[in-house]
Amino acid sequence: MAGIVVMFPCGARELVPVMEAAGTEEEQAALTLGASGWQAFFRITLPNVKWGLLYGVVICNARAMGEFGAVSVVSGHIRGLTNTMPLYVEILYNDYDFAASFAVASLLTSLALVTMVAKRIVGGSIRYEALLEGTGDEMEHKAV
Amino acid sequence: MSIEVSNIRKAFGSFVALDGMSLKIETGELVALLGPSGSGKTTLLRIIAGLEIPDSGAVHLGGMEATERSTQERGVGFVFQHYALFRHMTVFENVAFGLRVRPRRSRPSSDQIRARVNELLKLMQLEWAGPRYPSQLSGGQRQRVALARALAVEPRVLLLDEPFGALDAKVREELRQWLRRLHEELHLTGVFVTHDQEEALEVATRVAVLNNGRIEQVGTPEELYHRPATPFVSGFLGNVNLFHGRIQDGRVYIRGMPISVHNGEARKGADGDRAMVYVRPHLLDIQLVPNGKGSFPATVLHINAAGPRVKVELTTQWGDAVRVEIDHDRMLELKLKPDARVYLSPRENRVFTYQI
Repeated sequence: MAGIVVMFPCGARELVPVMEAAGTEEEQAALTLGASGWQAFFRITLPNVKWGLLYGVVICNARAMGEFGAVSVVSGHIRGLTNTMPLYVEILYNDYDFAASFAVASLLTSLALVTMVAKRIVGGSIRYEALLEGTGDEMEHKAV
Repeated sequence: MSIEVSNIRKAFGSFVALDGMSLKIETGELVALLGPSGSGKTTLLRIIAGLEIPDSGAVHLGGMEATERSTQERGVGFVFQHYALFRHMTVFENVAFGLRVRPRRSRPSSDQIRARVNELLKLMQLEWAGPRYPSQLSGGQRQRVALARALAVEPRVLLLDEPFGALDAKVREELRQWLRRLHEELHLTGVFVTHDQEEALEVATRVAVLNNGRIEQVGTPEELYHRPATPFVSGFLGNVNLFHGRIQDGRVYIRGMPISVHNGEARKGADGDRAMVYVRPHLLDIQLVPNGKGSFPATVLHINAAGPRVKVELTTQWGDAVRVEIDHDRMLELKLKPDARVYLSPRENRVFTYQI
């Protein structure tokens, strides 16, 4: 929960520029064609921001994996239930279980690499779509 | 379906976009809302579509109160300046969208949808574009897709917001004729917004000229061009030369020189009133000697003979710039050169008087 609170602004930051670039005209067009508000949202808004949304999820996930302070203070870090990997590393390290703590740390590092690759792929898709639309300038900085 | 807006007011913060506007549009008309930017024309169109809620006033569609009805219920087709095509859908799906989102009871079968979409794409000469995405089409093609999409739901009213504003001159010309033909074939009630007076005069059956959130004049293109009701309309429609004069004994004098006035309005002014004289460039004649009936001296500054008519820029004795258009034959007779001293006489003009 603590993680979610910390993460939301992070995800929104990725989503807002995508939505701003998309504008509201397409939704208005959908309304004039007889679509209801929900239909406009699910058929127009969501597909338009899907890459932005996914990008936000990846970033959020990365943030959640590395979360230390907020979880440590709020959750009471119960092992296997409300703990994050960095906290786990700390506990193992403090228990002098070096092998296990290094193993978890390595796992965390490889997850970071996976996340980077995912971010790269998703970011690339956003840039590609933006380029197709010819409004790619601002998105490009965002995605690189 | 007829459209009637009555006494509409709409303000955005402290900016008053529409200041008590009323307009009635009959079934089957194609009306242009013409005005400079900020005159409220787009706001009026969006209020008719239900995309904007007026602060006060009423909208009637087909004689029924529609002010409180949502966009969805109004059954209007809307074409946006920047097309607003659904970019993640193919052209076919874009056009089919309005049919697919209908409630199941009134939704046509997928075969019927396919037939209807193909028919519309054919009408727009875009049969080949069905599987393409909007980003793969040119501006003119995209706008035609937007038109097809709006027509797919069989709207009772078609609203177009600067439909050709984002296109280059040649494509714009083509689509204008296209729109007029479409209107003649389908007999739709149409309203389109434009700031291009040529477009309004050429396409519309009736034109409403807007300025500062108010209607200046409504009329057929001919009425507006030949009998503009206010100084603003005179100045906005076509090129004009403006002269300031004074009224004396029911005649208009520009710097002491009497001008023959063909309409009666100058006579309404009292002696000493100031008058504004509007003369279109092709209604001024250039002579080498004064004609004795009301001509004033001017000096030729520049001559542009490239085009169907010769455009001559002159300056009057008192420093006003004047533009005159004459035909090539007249030009040959006069043998004008820059710096030549000539005399100008209006063949016809439009005079407005205002008290001081």
